Amino acid sequence: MIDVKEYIDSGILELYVAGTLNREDSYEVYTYIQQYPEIKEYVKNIEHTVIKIAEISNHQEMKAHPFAKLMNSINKKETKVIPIQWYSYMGWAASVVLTIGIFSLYTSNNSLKTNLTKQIATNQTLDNQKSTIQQDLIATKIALDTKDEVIAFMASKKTLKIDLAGQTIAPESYAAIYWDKDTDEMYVDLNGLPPAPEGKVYQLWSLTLNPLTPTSLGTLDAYNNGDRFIKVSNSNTSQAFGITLEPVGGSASPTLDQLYTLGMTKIS
Amino acid sequence: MDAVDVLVKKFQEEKDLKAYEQLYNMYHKSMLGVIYNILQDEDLSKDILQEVFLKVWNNIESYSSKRGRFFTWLLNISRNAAIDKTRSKEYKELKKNQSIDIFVNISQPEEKEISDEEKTLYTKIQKLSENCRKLIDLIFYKGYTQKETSEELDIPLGTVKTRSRSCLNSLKLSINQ
Repeated sequence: MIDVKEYIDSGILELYVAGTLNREDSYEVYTYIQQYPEIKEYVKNIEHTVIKIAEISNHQEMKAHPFAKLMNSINKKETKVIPIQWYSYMGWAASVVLTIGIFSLYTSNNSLKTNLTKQIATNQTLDNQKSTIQQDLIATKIALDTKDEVIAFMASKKTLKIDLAGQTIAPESYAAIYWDKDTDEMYVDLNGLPPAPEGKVYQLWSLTLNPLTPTSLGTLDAYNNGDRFIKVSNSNTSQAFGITLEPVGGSASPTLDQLYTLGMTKIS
Repeated sequence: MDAVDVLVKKFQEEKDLKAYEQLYNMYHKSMLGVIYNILQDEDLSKDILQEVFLKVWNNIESYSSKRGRFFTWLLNISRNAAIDKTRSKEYKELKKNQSIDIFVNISQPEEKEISDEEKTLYTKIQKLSENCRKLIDLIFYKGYTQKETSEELDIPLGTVKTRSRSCLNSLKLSINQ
């Protein structure tokens, strides 16, 4: 049992009607209203007073819109509930679609830009590859022409072939010389020589015997770049040919302990 | 269960139009007063009242008697709707003076026929102190919390409760009169 008078005097019921109590206090008042008729009566009187004050505060005899108008808007809302919601959803849907559309346009625009950039880059690469291929083709064509030329030269009856055999430093090595005495043209086939070490280069010597006189026919730098056949001009009456390994730039006279191959010209 | 509770229950459970109309008739005039007290504009207040009762129709399911009186629920909706409106661009363009409280407008009309109860109320209000008028206005018609009220009126928080009791008690009307 609570002291009803004390409870009423506390002022909690006024605040209850005003709606400023928290949830717990409101529920407490609710339960007491169920239990104590005096409290219920008191609450109803507060309510009545507050309503009356609000009613008479309107000295302008202000009239609310007719109830029919309210019902009209309720009915409108009730009957049009589906189309209204549908239209409002349409709006949302449209905006969502539009947003997705814009986004995807933006995305695809971006990806198009990216693709375009990629395409440009690819084109440049392709251009580069094309020009490289063209260069390769030209080189290949030249090489083929050269090879044809070399083959034709080697096959010619006028061409003299001189085999150079491996010497002490590299017994397994070999080389060959194709020489047209009439034109002084000469090809050296270096296929049987090991690759020249760093800072070294093979040098070709024309030799005449009795006394042994070496004449430099030049360094064979092209072999270091991978060429098998190197064209040399030789106007000497060479009796033999030797290939030595020399420092880059060549030597004035052959370094004999670096004599790789040597071959005698056949005296016809 | 009294008459109001029966009506609310009928409206809430069956969405009964008659019950709804009766509740409207019971409360719309006071709610218009509450709204007008905040907005100080007749046309706007009528529109807001309409909105309030539309909300009541649409949201009656959310009302629970365990949380408070139907009147309190309605009072809350009305105050909030009106306060919301004061924040609108439309309202700001009206440049209404919001300093007027509900009791400023209360004076017994001379030519109009009024009930004895209303006559009593007018008399009581005339006798009411300035502080009590303000307190009742803030607590009931402006929706201030106890804390906000104590700050606004510069009185201790604990006195808001007892003061609201004593102020309203001096106005109190009895339903059974």
